[in-house]
Amino acid sequence: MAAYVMSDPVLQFITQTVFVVAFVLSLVDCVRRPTVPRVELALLFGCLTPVIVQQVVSQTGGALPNWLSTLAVAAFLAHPYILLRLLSHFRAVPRYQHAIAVLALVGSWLVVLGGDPLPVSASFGLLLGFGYVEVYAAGGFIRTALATRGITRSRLVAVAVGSGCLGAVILVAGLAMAVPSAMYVTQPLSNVLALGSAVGYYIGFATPRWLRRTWQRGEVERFLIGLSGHSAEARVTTALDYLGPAAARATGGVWAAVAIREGDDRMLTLHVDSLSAGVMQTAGIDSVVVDSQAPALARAWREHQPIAASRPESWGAGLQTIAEAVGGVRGALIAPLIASSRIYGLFLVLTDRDSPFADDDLAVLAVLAEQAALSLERLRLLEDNARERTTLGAVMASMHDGLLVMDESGIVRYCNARTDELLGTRPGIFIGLSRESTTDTITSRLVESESSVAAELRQALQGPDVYPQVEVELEVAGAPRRDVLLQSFCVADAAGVRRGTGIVLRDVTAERDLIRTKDELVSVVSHELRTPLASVVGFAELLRTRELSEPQRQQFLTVIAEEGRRLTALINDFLDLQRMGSGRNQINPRPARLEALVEQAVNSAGDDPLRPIQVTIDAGLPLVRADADSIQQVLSNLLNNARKYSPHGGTVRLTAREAEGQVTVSVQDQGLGIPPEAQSHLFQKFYRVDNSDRRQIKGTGLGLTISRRIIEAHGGRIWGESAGLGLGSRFSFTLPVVETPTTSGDVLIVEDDPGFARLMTAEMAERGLSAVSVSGVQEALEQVSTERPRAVVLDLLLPGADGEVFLRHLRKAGGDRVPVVVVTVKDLSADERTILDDLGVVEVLRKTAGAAAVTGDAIKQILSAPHVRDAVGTRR
Amino acid sequence: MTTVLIADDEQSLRLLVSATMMSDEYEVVEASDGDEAWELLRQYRPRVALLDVQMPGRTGLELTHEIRSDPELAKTFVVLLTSKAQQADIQAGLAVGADRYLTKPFSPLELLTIVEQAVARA
Repeated sequence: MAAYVMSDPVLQFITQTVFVVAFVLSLVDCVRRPTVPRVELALLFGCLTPVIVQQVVSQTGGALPNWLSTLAVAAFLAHPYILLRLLSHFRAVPRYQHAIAVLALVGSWLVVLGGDPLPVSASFGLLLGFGYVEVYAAGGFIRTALATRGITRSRLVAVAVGSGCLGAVILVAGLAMAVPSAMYVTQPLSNVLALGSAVGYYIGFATPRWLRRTWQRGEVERFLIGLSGHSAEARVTTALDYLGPAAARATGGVWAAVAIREGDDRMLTLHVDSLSAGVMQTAGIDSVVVDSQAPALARAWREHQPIAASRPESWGAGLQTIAEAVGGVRGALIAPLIASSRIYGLFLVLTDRDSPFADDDLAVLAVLAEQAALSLERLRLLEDNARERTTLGAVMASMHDGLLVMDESGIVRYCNARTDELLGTRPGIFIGLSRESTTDTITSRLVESESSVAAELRQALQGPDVYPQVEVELEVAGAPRRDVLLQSFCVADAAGVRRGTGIVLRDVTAERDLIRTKDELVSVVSHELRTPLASVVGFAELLRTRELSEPQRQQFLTVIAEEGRRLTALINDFLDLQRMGSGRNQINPRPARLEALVEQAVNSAGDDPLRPIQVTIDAGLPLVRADADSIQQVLSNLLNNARKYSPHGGTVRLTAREAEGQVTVSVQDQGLGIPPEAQSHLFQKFYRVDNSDRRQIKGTGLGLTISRRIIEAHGGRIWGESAGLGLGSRFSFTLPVVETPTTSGDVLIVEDDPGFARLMTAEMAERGLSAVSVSGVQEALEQVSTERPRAVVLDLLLPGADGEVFLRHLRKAGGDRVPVVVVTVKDLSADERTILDDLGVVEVLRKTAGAAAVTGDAIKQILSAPHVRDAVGTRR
Repeated sequence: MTTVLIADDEQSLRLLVSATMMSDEYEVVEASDGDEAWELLRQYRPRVALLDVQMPGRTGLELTHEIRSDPELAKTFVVLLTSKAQQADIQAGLAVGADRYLTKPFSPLELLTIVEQAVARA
């Protein structure tokens, strides 16, 4: 049969050589690394070799023994079957196709071995079977090639061409048998097809190294072009997103990911493209661990070598789970990402075939991994760098000090927002300015721009080598004067080479204010304290040294006592102020009833028939947030001032009303009033209105200052108004209102005093507990059964009800395990106490000042105890 | 009778000076601020003027300066009363021509001695 196939000697010779070389190469490869596909590949070329040998022998005039010729033909006939087996590594081949191939093989063997000469029909059928399988395989390879990518595709195309040509050779042989007269057409055609088949198989199955290199280079180039495109953003994540799909493309994988080491040495985080992300999410996998449990990964990781792995069941849990999630996976390619001899992670590609071509793909993947690692390292450095710069920028921008940096030539290169704020300059205006212009701009902000300080500042800013510090007073439109310390420093690089000059502007107003306050203290001690002291010491000496009449003695003693009291008041006020200034005077605002505070302040102000105090408080005033002692101090101060500066008497009116979420309290008098020019100074330390009408009125000049500090610490505002001298004054302050939820609650408050109930509701809210308050027993029982409160606060003295009876009802109404706290004004006897304890009352508290806060604490503590939580369970 | 002016915005201090000077030898006139003091100086031409440095209207220093500039008052014996005892203040006071300086709190007896000396010197 082969005699028909090849007749032209040159073509024949080339074809034979190509086949034999391919056989030798595949045999060497198979012996070196035996795998099923390699053995099959060697067999594929092997089954053609005997025929070729036979041909060569016959051409040289020799002849093989008959049985050998028969064996050679038999071996040749196995070709389609082996090709089909090879195909099955790339794609699933239906069983019936296998069956056809086996039948054709066995049938042809029977025919060949069974009789000689062959009947024409048998030969024809045999050729048909052979040709069919060969063409089917060619089609299979073509379809696989179309579905895959990378080098594999090129190789599969070559294989398909090879099988196609071989199939065609057979068909042409069949044609030649049927129509012998067409010999002159079929013969050369057959020769060309045979050569095509040889070259196709050779390129596909035993690809020459140079061709592989070329293909690999193509894939790598494509990869690199893509990578550089995705690295443009200089972000690692963007590059990572690209790497997976690109690797899958280049190596013909069905799934690919970059597994990157983040932190833990052996834990690699998977980065997949958006398509694979869904798969991973479904499988719940976002990382793989490289350890002895994952042999495939561990080997690549440990040996820093790319590996191709088959048999997913042997890959270890992590990779195997991924393979199952992806589906249809039969092979894996794993390449380490190594740059600067540091391993960053692994490149994982899963394939749907156990390809004999895996080596090519692996070689490509190894190169890709190398490039990817380099790129990742570069991006990481860039990102670190950028992050560092961002952090540094943020630090400089957020600094409390102003910072201005000039380069070597004195051009401003950096200026933070604080600098602009301190100097009142437009943001960015300094950038690019010369040292001279910068100095001019800063100097122009000086309060005394022509002073010696200005000259000193100029020298400091302009001197290239000296870096002294200068303190100046700056004034900017729309802002208070500021004391600013300017310090320049040399900006030097790591080698100590000067790169520029930095200027730090530090606002030291607060510090200077503190010093000024201390100076003020000295002044007060020497002036305010010495004046009354002079009287005390002086009169004491007169009393000691002079013979005095009794009225005189009494007068002098009175003066001593008065001045002593004045000294005490001064010292007290001064200490108050100092404490507040240093933040040691803790203002602790709590929900409070303003009515109570006012009442106490009015009581302590005492009676003065000439200057009665008239109080008007809006009904239903909400609770305010106030530190009771401090607010009383403010109220007392305002009431005392009102009376003090009403030497001719007059009603003092205290009003309180709510507006816009705050309560405003005003104290209005009909006294001396305040001259317009003095009104803006009222709250300054030690300021006292200087007018002859009030020179006799003593005061420290600190009361309003203290009041302002207190009110501002509450988040409120205080101010004074007067229509002018003789027209009275009004001082007002605001306090924030407490918001209280009232619909349903954790805590049920049974209390008939609405004021106290509100206070307790607010105290509960302070502790994160909602509360609802009811005033009657019936309502309370309804609440217990419907709202299931977690705790109950009970006033024992409810009108028309006995607390004990109520408690029994409560227990019946379903609140059998609800903790109850009793708040009462009653002094309980031991017996009463026992009864309450028996009824499950957890705590009994006295209803005194501050009881609301104490109750709040008690409830909070009871509800956070674990056994109560368990017993009560969660409401609703 | 020797007229003594006390100018101080503190009533108790004026009372102290009056009480200290209380005798047949002295007549004490009181001013509660600097401007009133100037009026009284012009009106009574006191032998001795006790002037508080810090008071409303003209300060003690300003008054001293005006006294020394006024030929009719130039011979007044000026004692400055102050709560400050710093060297700079004393210098300022003496520079404008004050004769003596008393720092609060002072001894009434010392004040009396100073006034007696001033009267004797005249």
